[in-house]
Amino acid sequence: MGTRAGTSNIDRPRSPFWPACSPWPSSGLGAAILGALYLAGADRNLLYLSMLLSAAIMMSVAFRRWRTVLPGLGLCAYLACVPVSVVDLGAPYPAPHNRPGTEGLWVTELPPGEVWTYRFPLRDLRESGEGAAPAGFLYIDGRDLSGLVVEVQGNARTASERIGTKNGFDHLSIPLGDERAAVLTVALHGAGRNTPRIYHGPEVHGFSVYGDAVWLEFTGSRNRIIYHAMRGVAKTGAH
Amino acid sequence: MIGLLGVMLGVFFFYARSKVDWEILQTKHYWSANTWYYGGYAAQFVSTPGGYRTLVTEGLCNYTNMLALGERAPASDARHSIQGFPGTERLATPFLVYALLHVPGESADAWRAFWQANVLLWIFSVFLAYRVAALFFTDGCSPWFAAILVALYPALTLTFNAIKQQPLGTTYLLLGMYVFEARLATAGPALKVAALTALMFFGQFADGGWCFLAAFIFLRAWWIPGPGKWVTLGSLGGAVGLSWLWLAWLGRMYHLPSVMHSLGFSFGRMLGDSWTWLRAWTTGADVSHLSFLNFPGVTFFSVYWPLVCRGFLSSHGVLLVLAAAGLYLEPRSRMFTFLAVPMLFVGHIGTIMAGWLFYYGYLSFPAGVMVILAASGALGRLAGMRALAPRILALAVAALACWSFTDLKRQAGTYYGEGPDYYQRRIEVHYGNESGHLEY
Repeated sequence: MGTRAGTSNIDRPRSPFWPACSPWPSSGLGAAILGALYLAGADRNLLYLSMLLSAAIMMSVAFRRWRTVLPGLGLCAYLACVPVSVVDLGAPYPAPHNRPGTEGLWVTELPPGEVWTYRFPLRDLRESGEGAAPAGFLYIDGRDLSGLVVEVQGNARTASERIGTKNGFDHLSIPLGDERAAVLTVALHGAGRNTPRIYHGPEVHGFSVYGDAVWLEFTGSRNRIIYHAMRGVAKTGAH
Repeated sequence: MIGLLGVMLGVFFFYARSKVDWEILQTKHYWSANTWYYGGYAAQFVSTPGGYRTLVTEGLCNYTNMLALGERAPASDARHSIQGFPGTERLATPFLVYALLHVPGESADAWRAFWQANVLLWIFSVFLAYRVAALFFTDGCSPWFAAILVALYPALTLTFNAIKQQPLGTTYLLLGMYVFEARLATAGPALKVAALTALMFFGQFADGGWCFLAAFIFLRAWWIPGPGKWVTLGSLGGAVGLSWLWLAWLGRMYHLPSVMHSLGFSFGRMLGDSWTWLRAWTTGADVSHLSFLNFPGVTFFSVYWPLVCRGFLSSHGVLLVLAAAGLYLEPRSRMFTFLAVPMLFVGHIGTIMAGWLFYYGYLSFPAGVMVILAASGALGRLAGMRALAPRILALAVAALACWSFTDLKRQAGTYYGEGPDYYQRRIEVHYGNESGHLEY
């Protein structure tokens, strides 16, 4: 029972009870085990069994000793016999493709008569360590944003000329100038014929969801600071 | 060995244990607000024991396809089908994770099993790099250098928290290289065909693994002397054909989705179009309305290939210099150096099929493996010299090569095609009135 020079320890026989094996009988044994499980009805999933069979053949070729091949084949048999529970997620939320008319993306209509408000606490902005104040932008993604009125700290900002496109949907960017309030409030409401729709892009943190694609970015030479906020809803006239 | 252990501990504690999912970060709006959406930002999220988790759209099927693998009923009665783009081509990932879930206690949090699978894949890649290098280089140092370089390779260190397992195809390439070189190179044709059929069949689920391996064995065969070359080429052709038939049989039964089908891609049409392009180009005719390798006009040469080469060079500069030195220092490294360019092309065949003008770092990993092995051979030769100066030089250059991989933000910029400086800023993300914030 000689071994090649350079053969690793895993291939070296330690006792005569574990002789070298040819890949053929071990591959055949693997196929027989998996075939028997199929015929016995333990697993009738031919796709999964095919993957296990190819893995068994690879192991039979890669390992040269029965003491390494047999546990491998045993593992394949175990994986074929014993199912494990995998939780069915159902439709993950949001499920954009399940909603007609969204062209593959989840958007939420901003209904006429409603004002959506976002309060961004900017308390950490002054501690960013940048010499000059970083440039800030308010970004909004969605559809039909030409019909959107944006108010920053109560001042209406014209939106329509700042709308670009980003992968097929509207992308609005509004420079914030020198807004450095402790809390920056952004209010959105519709105007005009088109009902604006805001892209529902879940930014998640722990078990909190910041669902709307309405966010602030302050970019300096060394830092970029992002702010998310949750939506507050009010009827027109109440805000 | 101490160096490898140190590197692996460092990678594990600094990279693997970090919570950063670089691909999700790349796709978020705050990296590239004006241009990019790739499925990370906003498509979907799921509940995990630790909180909600956003998913790269392409990755979700790596979870849901575990349900299809867990079916015990025949195809006609199955409740869950294989789905996703790519779904079939990445089925090895749910297979691996599903296997891991058999360990007692694992099924409580399947999402955690993805991280564990990525760590195991990383360890397995390092082991395989060592074993493959040991098959080619007889000195004692080259395998350790290869293992250290693979341990730090960005395709692995950037994807510990991913659910897509992008480097899987290249790990599979390393596995196939080891099996072929150690067990099949001198085997008879029947065993070659049988073993390669199994390798090619499973590789069709391994993120391009079969394609990388088939290309490697095809190219490698030309270094095999005598009739062994033709036996290898014939066995490879037979194995690829048989594995395609095997998958086609299952594909009909299980209605397996296919990326090529989804893209409407056909190799025959692409080669025909490219032939027409070549004929027109050689006669000096206008080629702007024709396509070469799925890219219109001269885009392949003027944009796509320079983009791929720039991306590859920016991450592998030191290794390429070493591989070039290996041409003189270590004759056995030459094959790997010569294979780097064809493997770079084969690695990126997915984007060529799709016609996407984008550089994905993980698609350069097959070529990266070639360069790593060539560089390891050169380093091993230097480190094995008796004089002190070449040994110190080997250690210094190896340290430089390792250092070039350690800045993950720089590597992420290259890896995701935006450029090495793209993610250098420190990122803070604040969430409403919550006191804590994330920092990258």
